[in-house]
Amino acid sequence: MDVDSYTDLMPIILLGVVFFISAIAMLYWSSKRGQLRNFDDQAKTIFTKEEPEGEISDSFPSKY
Amino acid sequence: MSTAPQSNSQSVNPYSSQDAAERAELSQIDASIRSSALFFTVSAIFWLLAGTVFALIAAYKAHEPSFMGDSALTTFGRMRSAHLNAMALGWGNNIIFAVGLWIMARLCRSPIRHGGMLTIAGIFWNLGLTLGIAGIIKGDITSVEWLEIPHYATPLLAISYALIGVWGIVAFKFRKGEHVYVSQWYILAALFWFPWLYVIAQIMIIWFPARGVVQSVTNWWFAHNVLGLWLTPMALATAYYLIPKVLGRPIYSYYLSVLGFWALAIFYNWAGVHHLIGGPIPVWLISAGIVASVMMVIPVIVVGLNHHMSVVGLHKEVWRSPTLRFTVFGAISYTLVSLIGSAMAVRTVNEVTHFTHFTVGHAHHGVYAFFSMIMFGGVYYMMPRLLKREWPSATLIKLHFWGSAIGITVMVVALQIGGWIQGVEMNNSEIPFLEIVQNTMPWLKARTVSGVFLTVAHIAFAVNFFWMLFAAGAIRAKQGPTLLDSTSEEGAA
Amino acid sequence: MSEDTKSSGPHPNNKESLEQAAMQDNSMQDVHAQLMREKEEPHEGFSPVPIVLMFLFAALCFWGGVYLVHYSAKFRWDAYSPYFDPNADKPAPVEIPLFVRGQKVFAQQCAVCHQASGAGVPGVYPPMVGSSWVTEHPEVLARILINGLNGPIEVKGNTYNGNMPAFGPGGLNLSDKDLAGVMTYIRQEWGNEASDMTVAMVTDYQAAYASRSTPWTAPELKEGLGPVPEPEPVVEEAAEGEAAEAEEPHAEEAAH
Repeated sequence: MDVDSYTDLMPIILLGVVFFISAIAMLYWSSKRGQLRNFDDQAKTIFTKEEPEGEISDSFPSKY
Repeated sequence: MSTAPQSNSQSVNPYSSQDAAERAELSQIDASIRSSALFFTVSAIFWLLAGTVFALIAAYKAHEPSFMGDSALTTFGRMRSAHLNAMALGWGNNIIFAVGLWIMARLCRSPIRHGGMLTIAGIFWNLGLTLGIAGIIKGDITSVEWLEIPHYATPLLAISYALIGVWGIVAFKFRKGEHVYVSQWYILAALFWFPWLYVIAQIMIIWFPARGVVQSVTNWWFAHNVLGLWLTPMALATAYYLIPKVLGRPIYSYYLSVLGFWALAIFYNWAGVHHLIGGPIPVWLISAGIVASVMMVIPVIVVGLNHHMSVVGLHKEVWRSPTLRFTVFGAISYTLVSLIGSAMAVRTVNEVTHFTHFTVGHAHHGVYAFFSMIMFGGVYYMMPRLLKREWPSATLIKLHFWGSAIGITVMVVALQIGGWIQGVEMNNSEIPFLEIVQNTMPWLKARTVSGVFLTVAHIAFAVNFFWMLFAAGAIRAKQGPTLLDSTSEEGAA
Repeated sequence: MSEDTKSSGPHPNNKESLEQAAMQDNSMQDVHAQLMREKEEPHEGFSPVPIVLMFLFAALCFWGGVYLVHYSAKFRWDAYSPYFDPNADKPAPVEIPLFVRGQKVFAQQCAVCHQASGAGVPGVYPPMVGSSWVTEHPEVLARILINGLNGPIEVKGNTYNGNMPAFGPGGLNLSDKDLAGVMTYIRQEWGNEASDMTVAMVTDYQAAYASRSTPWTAPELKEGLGPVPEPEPVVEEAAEGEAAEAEEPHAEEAAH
């Protein structure tokens, strides 16, 4: 590689390490918060009482 | 579809009733984000139409170069770049800010704050973009792909995006409820990824250019990741929300969706270098890009499997829902375009397809057949809930769908067949170059025809949209999406 | 699951009556919600990845690793080709033939005045076609190119009186290869049939004349020439040309 010395790349290497650590941290955080358990319950969080599970919530308009 | 009264809906689903106390009414959330979502959708549609005009001009010029040939403003280079930026940053970003942030707001289960700031940031985004695209047409184009907008407009774009991105993160921070749905993962990650990509690319290519080939590597890292770490996650977030939502059935395997998200995050960003296969770049970097492009098969198959299994058995309902016609078309296209893309990254295939129309077809396959179709679906779902009205015309919706579906299919098939032939012929040194150019003409003409289909589709969409927006009397449906029928809502807060 | 004995048994396939029953029984609702999802084996809220996919993914990872090892040239910074082999012989650089090289040089440097057809401009620039100055003794031609030419000169019956610029080190400084190329070209194009001007010959003539600072005149050109080199291997030519010319520059300078 064409650098005078590898320490010139330190800022970018550090940034890369920071990103990697933050990604791992996000994984850890999600695991701690129980995001990675009980997937089937999580899949249902999009349903509400106005648009509940089991009801088709879209259709073509009735006119024209 | 169900004619059962609303009163038992509260008790049917035990999971939502657990946190009913924390969770705001969907209609409240929708009302709080209405003005900014509408603003962004209107902007998106204007840019869609402008981008379509640029596209038609550029497409026609490709086989009739003398068309509009006496004005510098309409040269192919400027029209093509104006088209790309109008579609990517104009249509793409605005519709993401509309649909994606609306989904985020809904999943964060609380009415949004500072919606006004969102709209103001959006106004600045569109101002910057107008300035930028006018600059391109005027001739100040930077000649870097996907970064053509001249330097006087880009800081405005960066700042207004920063405001929007920060808003998204704040909304996430103040969410209610424990669960983070996969769409929220995708949207949040994309909100981080995009500014990182944009700022680094601007700095390293335009403002403080890096030396030599590093610029190209940065350029294609950026351009490919705009597709894969911005447009793709936003479209996937929308599909993951809409498909189960419309069908009333949870996604087949939530575990697979989380796996798909992390696989995308790991593999996608290495892949950009596949645009430079064969170039003067250390070969290990290119091989790493090729490996990552092929490994993308993993998240793509995972997502495809998930979506397929989620709709299996309910194809009729998919067909009967305008939203899902578009969204499922998009989801199927995602699998197809990604598998083709992974194949294109392999060196032996790339020797044929590189520098041909095949790549152009592939790009449109992804950005239109996948991203835009899913976003159209998002608009068809979101608007009735924001405006409390039905779409005025089913015919226009069908016109939009068929125009888009036929148009993009013709375009992709024509460009990829023509591009493949072009590539094979270019590798044959006995065929003179101009003859190869002549051989691509029928395929380019087919592309222009497909562009006409798409134009019709977009006009139908815009007409339907503005009709709905400005409808004097609200069209209340007797049957239809349950949210529209406010008389039967129980205990509205 | 729960046994529902309260109501008189709703018809299992009729959704409405099922939901009527659901209204009355809380525990039924849990079952109801689960039953509405038509999925097999929802154990532990975790539907595992199909085994086929796991094999596919493992195979892809394996392929990826193998590919990276084979096509990364050991991560060298200076390897651009996937087939990089540091032990392979360096390919020989392609040599452009003198005539072809000369064609290019002529087009760039000479055709401006002498015309691409080599016919020159009557009264202004002499022609190359059929000109004995071009096709006869190569040293004459070399002198013209290296140092330039002034004063009247008769070419094919016409007199020209112009300034031919020097292309040697004292002038436009073309390389030896370019000089050899262009002289070979004009000696063999447009029906001229003369011998090659090799790079070795040019090098020798340069050694003799590069230091001269004044252009030639027509009468001077024909004086004190060495023997015409035979079209032979380079080594002999050089020896012959050098020996013959060694005394010429001194004679020339003495004459002036």
